[in-house]
Amino acid sequence: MAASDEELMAEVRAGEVRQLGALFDRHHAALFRYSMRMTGRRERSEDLVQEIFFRMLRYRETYRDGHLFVTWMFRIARNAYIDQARKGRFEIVGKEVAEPSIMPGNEIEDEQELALLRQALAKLPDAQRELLVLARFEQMPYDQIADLLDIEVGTVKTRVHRAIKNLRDVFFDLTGGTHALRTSS
Amino acid sequence: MSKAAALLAFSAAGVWAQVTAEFSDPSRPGTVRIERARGGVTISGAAIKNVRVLSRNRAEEPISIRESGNVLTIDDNGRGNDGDLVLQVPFATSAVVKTVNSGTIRIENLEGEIEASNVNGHILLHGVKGAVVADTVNGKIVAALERADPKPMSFITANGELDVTFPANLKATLRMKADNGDIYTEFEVTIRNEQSRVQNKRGQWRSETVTIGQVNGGGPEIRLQTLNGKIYIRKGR
Amino acid sequence: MPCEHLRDSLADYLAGALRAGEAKAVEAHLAVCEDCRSAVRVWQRLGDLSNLAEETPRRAMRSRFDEMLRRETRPPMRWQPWAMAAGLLIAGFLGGRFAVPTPATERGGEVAALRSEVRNLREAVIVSMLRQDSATERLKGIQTTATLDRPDSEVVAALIDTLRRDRNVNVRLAAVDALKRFASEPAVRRGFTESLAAADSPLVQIALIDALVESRDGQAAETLRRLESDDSVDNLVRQRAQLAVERLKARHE
Repeated sequence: MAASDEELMAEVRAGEVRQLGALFDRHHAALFRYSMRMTGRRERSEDLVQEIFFRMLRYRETYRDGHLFVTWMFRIARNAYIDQARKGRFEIVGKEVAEPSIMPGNEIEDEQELALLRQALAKLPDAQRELLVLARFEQMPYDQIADLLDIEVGTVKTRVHRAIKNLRDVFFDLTGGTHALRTSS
Repeated sequence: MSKAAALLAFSAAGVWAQVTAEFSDPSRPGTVRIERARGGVTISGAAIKNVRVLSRNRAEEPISIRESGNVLTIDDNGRGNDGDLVLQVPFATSAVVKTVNSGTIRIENLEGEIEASNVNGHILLHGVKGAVVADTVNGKIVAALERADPKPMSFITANGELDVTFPANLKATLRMKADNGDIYTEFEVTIRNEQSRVQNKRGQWRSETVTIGQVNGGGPEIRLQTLNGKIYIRKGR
Repeated sequence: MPCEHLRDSLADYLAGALRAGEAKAVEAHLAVCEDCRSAVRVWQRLGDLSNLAEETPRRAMRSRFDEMLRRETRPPMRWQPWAMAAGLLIAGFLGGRFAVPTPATERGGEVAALRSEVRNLREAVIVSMLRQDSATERLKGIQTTATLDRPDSEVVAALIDTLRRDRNVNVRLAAVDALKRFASEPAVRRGFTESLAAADSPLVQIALIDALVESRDGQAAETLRRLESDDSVDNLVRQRAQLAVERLKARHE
């Protein structure tokens, strides 16, 4: 049976740093998705993922037994993102893409709809976008998110609720308020 | 600068920031080690005792500088940006330079040994006197050596040409390989290995495998190797 | 049920964390509340967005990670105390030349013992040269191995270690060439295969592929095939790997 993330990370901490390669293979795609949604740029995202693994290696001593690896990993990811964003190196694509012109009543193609949704997501405040990326894209359970963000589970639920309705409003603004979303396939 | 690590935060965009760093024993030749993930590096020898570090960064970038045992290490901790890092160092300094993306490594007027590694960028060496070990993947290597340090050397690239000038009194065994290109030389080269299929027409070889040849009776091995590109071995003064 | 009271259970509903009875209550509300219904649809479409292929990272990220790992974990290279002593003893002996004179005639066991001592000393010097901080010194160490017709296993092991871990591509490439002589040893061929799987320099990759073909190592086929089908690998390297697979197959048939 394959070793768990936690076992691998414990080995990394004990000096078997090559095992970080296995953790890279397992999680770099998820971190890349997270980074893409947070930074909006492929190159920046690759840099960020690299930085995250660099920090995992350098701060491996801070990983504690009994803690979920994924939570620890995303905590590092968040800090790395915040540090980079603070330096003003990131721009969100949604902010620089021209507003789409949708004629009322026009049928929006599936792809176009998703492109608009991505833009809407990019327009959300960082904290709301991050919450939706974790809950929806990474399918992280609310209690883990609560642990990661250091807030109550109830607060997570309230914020998810608020974020999804805000996303809906921003999306409708982008489409001129006339478009009814497709149902998911 | 003390042995303790110093953290430099270079300021506004487009502005040169300068800092001076000292070797712990300036009476002995020191070594500078530079590791960057991005951006170019220029090092020039000068009649100075300390090291001057100039940075023209586009964004704020912390670079750490440490000194220990006469080795000055400058590291961007795997981050880096596209700005050039420029160093002036004492003539006798050795240099170990590594960058990966978006930058050229330039070294001039240095007497110490040089180890230069790039991935996407060129390596240009001029007026250097120490042994050279250089590699890049996508880029050319142009090197003009002013002295034939009797030590092994190596110049390799995957996609790009090699253009190396050695002094006329070079004594070396050349190990040459250009998979998809020709090799040109101004030296008298005595081909030693039998197994390589070598065509010798007017100083030009095409080597299917490695070509080993002696210059002035042979000496330490110098490797010159590229996958896609020509090799020029020029005779200097 | 007013929307305000639904907050937590709607979030749980979205995450699929409600039991059947609770989910039914939420669905009853959704049937009459367009506001909440549209939120659920946005959530669903967000799921579609996360499945888009463009979010896939490039394979080249792995080699960048490997490079970082290598950079961060390379062992500090230092003289071993015993090697230092040996180096001082023999420094004048080796000098800039690469040949050690051998006595013209055998004069019994004494000379043989002396020669073996010198040989061991020389091997110790080579091993310590491979650990030097200066790349040209390490190249010198590798070139000196060519003067030994049958180096002991410690020298070969040190060369394999250099091939695997040396931070400089030139030195790793020189190690491949030096190790070709010992390709009849399984440990050397294993070193070739493992290094090929981890190598990121096209020149080292091609040198390793050629070395494996020359040593007719059938066990390398899987690594070669993986290289051949990896689109983050240099095209020339992939072509060479493909050729190597064919040549190895032809030899084993």
